[in-house]
Amino acid sequence: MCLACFFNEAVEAEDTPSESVDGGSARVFSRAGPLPLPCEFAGYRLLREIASGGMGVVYEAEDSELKRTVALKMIRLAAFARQDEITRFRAEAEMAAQLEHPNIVPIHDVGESDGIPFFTMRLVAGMSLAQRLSEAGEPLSPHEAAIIMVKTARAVQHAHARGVLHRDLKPGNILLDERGEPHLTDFGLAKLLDDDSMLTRTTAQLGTPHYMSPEQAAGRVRQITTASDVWALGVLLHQLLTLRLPFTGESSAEIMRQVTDASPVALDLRGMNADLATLVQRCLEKEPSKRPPSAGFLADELERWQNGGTILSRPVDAWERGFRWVRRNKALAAAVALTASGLVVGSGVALWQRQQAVAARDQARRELKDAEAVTGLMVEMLKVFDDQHGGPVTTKDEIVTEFLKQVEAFEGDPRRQIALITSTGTLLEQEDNSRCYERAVEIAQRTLPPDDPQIWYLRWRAASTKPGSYNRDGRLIPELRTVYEWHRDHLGLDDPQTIRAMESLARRLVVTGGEVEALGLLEKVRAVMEQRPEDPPVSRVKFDNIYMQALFRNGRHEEALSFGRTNCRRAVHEINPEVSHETARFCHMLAKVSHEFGQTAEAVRHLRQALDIYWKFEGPANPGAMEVLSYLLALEEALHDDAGLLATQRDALRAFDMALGPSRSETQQQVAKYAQTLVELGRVAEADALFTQWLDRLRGGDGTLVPQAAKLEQLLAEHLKATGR
Amino acid sequence: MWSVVVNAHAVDESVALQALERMARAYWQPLYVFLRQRGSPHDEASDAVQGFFEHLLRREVLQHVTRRETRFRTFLLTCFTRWLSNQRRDAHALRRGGGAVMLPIHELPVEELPADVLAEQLYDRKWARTLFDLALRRLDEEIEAREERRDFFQELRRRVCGPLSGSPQWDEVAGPFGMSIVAVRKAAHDMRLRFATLLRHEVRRVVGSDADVDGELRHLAALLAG
Repeated sequence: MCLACFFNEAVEAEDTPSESVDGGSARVFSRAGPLPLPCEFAGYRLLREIASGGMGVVYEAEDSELKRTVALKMIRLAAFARQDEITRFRAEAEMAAQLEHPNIVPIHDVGESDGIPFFTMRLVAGMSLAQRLSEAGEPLSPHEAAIIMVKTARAVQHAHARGVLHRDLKPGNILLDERGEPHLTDFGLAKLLDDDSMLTRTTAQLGTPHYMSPEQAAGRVRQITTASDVWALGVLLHQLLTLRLPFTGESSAEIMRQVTDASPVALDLRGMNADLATLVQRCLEKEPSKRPPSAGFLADELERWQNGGTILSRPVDAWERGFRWVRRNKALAAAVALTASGLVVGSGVALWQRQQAVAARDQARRELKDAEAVTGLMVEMLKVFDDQHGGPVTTKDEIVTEFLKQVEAFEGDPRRQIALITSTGTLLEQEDNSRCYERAVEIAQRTLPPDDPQIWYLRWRAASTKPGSYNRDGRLIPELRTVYEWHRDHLGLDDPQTIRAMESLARRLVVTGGEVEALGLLEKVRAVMEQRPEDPPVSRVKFDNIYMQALFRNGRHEEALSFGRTNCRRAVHEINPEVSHETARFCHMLAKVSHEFGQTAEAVRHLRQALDIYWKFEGPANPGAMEVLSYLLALEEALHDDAGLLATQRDALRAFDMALGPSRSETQQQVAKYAQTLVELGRVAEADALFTQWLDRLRGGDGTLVPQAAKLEQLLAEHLKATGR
Repeated sequence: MWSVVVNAHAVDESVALQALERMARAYWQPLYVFLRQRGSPHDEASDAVQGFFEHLLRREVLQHVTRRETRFRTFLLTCFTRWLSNQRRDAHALRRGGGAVMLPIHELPVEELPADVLAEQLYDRKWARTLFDLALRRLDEEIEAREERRDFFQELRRRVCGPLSGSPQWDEVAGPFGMSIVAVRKAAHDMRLRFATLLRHEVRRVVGSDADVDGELRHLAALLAG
């Protein structure tokens, strides 16, 4: 017995993950008895070994009966599998054998011989995508990558719709035929025996961790769903576009740590097309529910991109980015936060200059003290983000509360305190948070002379940024009126700030029964706006929207509609991505006006436009988008526009899926509604398939339904009952 | 296990001591053959190992283990030789600590000690053999725990890593179990692979990190081949 051989084999048994394009594949055992080829096995003549990897060995084999050449795969370690695992493997393989898709390598035969499970599949002449990448030595063009990804994602979607997960998507499992067409292989099979086999626990048998989703890396087998395959598609897209893997490391453990912890915004996507980068980031969301809802959705997105259209996925948004970024880099965040509040840098420079002048020394000392206090405050603030100090806080609200608490501790120049508070909004993407302004008003009123313009500016901000539903015991209109009058009397009627205050007052009046007065004020605003169109004191889109509403509420319906049509068209044409939601709101409001005027079909058009804008710039999960969506569904139902309704319901389903995920009852209700419309159109089989598909998305790794599927099961039961089954 | 010991400062000391004891119990034999190869007679060698064993399980020793000790194998030998020379310097006769026999040390006949091999090399070889035996015991446990085809796997085990592994006659297995030779070979292949994994597990227990496993295996393989 050669003891040294056993030790050498133990070295070989380890698949040290490499940075190679295939992510490394387990080396073949050189000594431990490869089969003497050719040889007979289960009615096949094994001719030569084509490939071997962590999960098994593939042979070119001749089907002795049918005289055709096939690829036969034996699962590694199969001889050590338990009977129940073999049974499960067979069941799963038979399911995978049902898959018929042009981009899936068809499985011919699933069997077991002397306790060794195997399956045969079509022999694809060509090379694997892994080989292609390593031979080319350079990334695919974005266009080429998109073509392969669309087909691959569609194939994955096809399988998902039939309850089959792939679990091991990687370039080595995508074969390219002579025409370069991708063919997916190893559906749901290779990893299956591996998942909870008692025997396989080393990295070698776990396979390459580069494509593993966080839920897989964490070994949460039951949480592995279609979203885990979507993750792997994201890794694949990243790799095709850059030749690099998004998460790398010296060891499997390190890679798995990266997969679990590294934020998608930390990915180096420089040079990547922005939309494709967004898709990569979205696929690589840690939280499965935040990823694209399905592989099919990803394929749709890629096709939209290929056709020069706009993708629906929004970039990992500024808020998320800011928040993650702050957590990632506290020191840098502190620096920016200080700059943002316009204090330390400015006063620091001034300080150095002034220090030269003895006369200004006292002032300099005060500034220094302030600067120190601000720095201390920011450090305290940033601890909020720090896990080590009991953080992190997770919601915007919590951050604002914490920030305001910290500002309380500041005892420097009140103007700085106010500036700090008002800049919080900008820093935290919290522009319309009136809490900050209210607090600033309190400080200003306590410390500044009553006619200081800053007090009045802050009072205007606080009052005008109150949410629409807020009315503070009817004191909001009087407050807005006081603010407007102060500006008018102190700064003059033409001052931009007076115009803004006037518009804010009118805006509230329109919706609280003061439409006559509102229209009068708005006419004045309009006159000023027309005088200087290049530098309007208030946003043109916001103004046009409220002016249209004021006209309508004053009974000037046709005028309102005509004004709205002209200006909404212009607003959409000149859309500014920074304030796109204002344009979307304008379309939404124009739809309401058209609807009330009896123009339901036109209203539907405007709503679709609003929805497009929301989805393009804000994402389907935006509350405004959801509101438009439910309005649109109601109108289409009323119009009996079945085709339109069906399309919208499909969109709605997607939106709910992205916003809430498949396990929420709201999403499941949407599934049922969509199915109901299908039934009404006589498309019962599609409705059935829809339920199956969504139920499959609620299955754990072992195929059983998760508890959240109860509602959908109940809805399915109702559906079956309603269709007489 | 070794990770636990080198991180003793981070874990409960008694946990680290327990780990050390379990490991020392598994690996005392290499120390014994080391001394025998250096010429000590059985009684002296077994007393020394016994005495060292007690010494090893003191908390002070634990405090001397640093995180730089990546391998239990080298640590154990270094520690042992240092202890031996201290014993001699202090002019004490090698003696058993508390007198209680803790390790079942059987006499190794002199004839079985190879000529022309350094004591350190023999220590490493015995170490490799111990690792191998531990992995083999695991494999046997797994086979014993099987509910199906236990006989087949036991037969296979004799030929894969047992007495018949030199020239396994697969047809002798295939016939009685009604299996094809290909299936038997495949099963044998799987078993070797499984054994390789178990061996890795054993090695992992006596080195400080995942990264050290391959190095240790290569060292032992080279030593055994040479």
